[in-house]
Amino acid sequence: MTVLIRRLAGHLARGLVMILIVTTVSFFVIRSVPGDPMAAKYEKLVEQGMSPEAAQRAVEVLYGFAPSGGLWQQYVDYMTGLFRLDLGQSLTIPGVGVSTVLFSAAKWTILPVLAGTLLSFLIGVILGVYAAVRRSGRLGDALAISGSLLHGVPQYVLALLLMAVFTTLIPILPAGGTADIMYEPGLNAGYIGSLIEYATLPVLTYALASYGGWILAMKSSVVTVLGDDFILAAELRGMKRGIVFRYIARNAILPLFTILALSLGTLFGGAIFIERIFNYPGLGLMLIDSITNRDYALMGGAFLLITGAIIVANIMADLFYTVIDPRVRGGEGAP
Amino acid sequence: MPTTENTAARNAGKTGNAGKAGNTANVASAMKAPGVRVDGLTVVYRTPAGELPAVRGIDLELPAGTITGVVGESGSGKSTLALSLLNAVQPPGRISAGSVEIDGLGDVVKLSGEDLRKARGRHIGYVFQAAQNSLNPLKTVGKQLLDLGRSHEIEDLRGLVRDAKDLLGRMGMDGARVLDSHQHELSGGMRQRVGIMLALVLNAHLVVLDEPTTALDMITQANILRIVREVHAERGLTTLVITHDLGVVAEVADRLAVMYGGRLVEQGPTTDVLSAPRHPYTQGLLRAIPRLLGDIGEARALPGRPPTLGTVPARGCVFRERCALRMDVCETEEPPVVVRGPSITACHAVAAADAGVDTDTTAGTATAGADAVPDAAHPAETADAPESAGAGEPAGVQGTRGEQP
Repeated sequence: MTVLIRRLAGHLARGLVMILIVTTVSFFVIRSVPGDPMAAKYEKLVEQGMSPEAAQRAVEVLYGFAPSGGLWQQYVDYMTGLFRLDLGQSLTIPGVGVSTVLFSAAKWTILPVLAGTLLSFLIGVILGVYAAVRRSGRLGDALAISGSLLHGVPQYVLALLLMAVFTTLIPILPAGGTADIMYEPGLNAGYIGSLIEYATLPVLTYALASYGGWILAMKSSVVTVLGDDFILAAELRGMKRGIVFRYIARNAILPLFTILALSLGTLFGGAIFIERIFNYPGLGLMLIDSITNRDYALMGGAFLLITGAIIVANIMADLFYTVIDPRVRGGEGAP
Repeated sequence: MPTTENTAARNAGKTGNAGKAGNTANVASAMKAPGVRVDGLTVVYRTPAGELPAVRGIDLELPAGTITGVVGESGSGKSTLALSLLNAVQPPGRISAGSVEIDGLGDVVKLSGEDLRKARGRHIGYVFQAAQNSLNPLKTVGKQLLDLGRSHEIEDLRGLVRDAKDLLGRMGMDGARVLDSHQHELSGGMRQRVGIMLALVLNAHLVVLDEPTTALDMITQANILRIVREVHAERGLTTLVITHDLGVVAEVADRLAVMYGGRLVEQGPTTDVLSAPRHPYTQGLLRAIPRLLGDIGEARALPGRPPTLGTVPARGCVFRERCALRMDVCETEEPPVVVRGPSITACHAVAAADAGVDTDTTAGTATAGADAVPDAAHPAETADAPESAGAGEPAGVQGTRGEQP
């Protein structure tokens, strides 16, 4: 147990340093990008016939909350704000905190991508085992080939295909949005049903786009384990098929958990193409908008969220390993 | 080295011990050390060149209660022979002819499905080479022991654990600690003893040990061999030890069988075969062992290399390419079986020496199973290409110790 806690403490310390570095780098990189939202507004107002002085005042009123002072001063302000968990204010939606914008976008990304990833993981792993066991048969080949094909098709092609099929050819699903506006948002059956209906296509796209990778990874992992001595040993000891199968499955799935944890970390980056195509207001769309609008604070917040998620996912993967793989535990009298 | 007689005597004295260990395995405890008769066993492997025999026409008897050692170089087919005893030849190999009769079990070659699975572990214990990881790395030894018990419908799992602890204690280990350990927490010698425990805990009375001491250091080797010998005597087992190390056989085996190119070339009581080898291959093997005392240059390696699956001659003697006593008849005729007392040798030269003149009368009777091998399976005679790729190790069998076969 103490080993686990020491491990966790080490991870957290390293994670904090990492976050510090990433925020610093992204702070300066973001601000060195050409373009300035205030200058743009100012020029627009002047073009509309306002006098330069009036325009300057108007911009100052509009963006009065915007950080001012030298770059270094802004950096110090930003970092001290961070320690108070204050990410600053969005420039494009004046008066709204960055964290509010982030959270409202995150809920549209995390649930569908999580559902899609877990769905494809489950299906991919099960079919991968099958493809490995029947690897010399026709069905095993077919599964492996379908995996390679789907793995190779870009997400947006799949998204467009699914959209064409299920909204035009067989119009049974909505083409975009998050829910039917006729339902009152809340915990009522109609709204939730509508949410699920609208989420079906994005989730299906996520699942299809990643399931090929799972099949291939699981297949090769199972094939490796099948060649291990302890599987033959278990058979020669007369172990039941079910038990031998569990030995194979548990050993084969181990390396896939790392990939799963990492892909759960990256899901916070959102899936830009899928969100665009299905008009789903998730993190990916939000990130694009913040970049086009040069919304420094929002960009910084988004990068921070993505970095934090990946670091947390890594820590989770590592801790999870110590639970499921006795060889990683270590420190308890192992050589 | 225990002879058959005093082994049997020790068995009688220790039946109480064996009975106690057998509490949980009621069916098996009624069993005595079984005799095993291998008859005309031929195992072929599917290759791009057709089905090639790895083991051909093996006739071998394991008398009940004895330790038999099978020696041979890598690729001589000894591990395939060991797996055949459990009808567990792995694809692309298959047993194409012959039978393996085990007392109380019948012909193992005819067993399949659940019957075969239940025979494995319960009637026949198999101990892997020490270098191989025969344990699931994710589970403790104890949990795998319980999996084994559940697989064989053992109801008294506590009794099984008790037996396992007894066995491990018998082999000089702390049973409770070992059962609580994962594979990576055990040393090579400890793993090997765990392997022996798992092979015996269900009270199997036929035990096959495949290279039990390979990859272990000398002291651990000696320990494992002592354990094999003692456990064999205490529990009343029939034991088959597969090895490439003549020293191992000399240490434990009552009987010795020498394999070459998938054939049994000589077998008999260990002392007879080692002190007066008759087959030129056995003689060559013994000459190749460096002596502890005297000139190291006295050890002479056999010339040439052992044949591989593709280069084993389809007709005639498999050893002729490296044989000093080679005759014309070796090219065309199967070596005759020469029986002298308890020893059997398959060699034209030995037959000629015994009979004085005529070898033709006995030729071709060496192996019943040989005829079952389809001719089409054999490539043209390629045995005169000894440098062919992957041709295995040099002849000094002792020198190969520690290598993976």
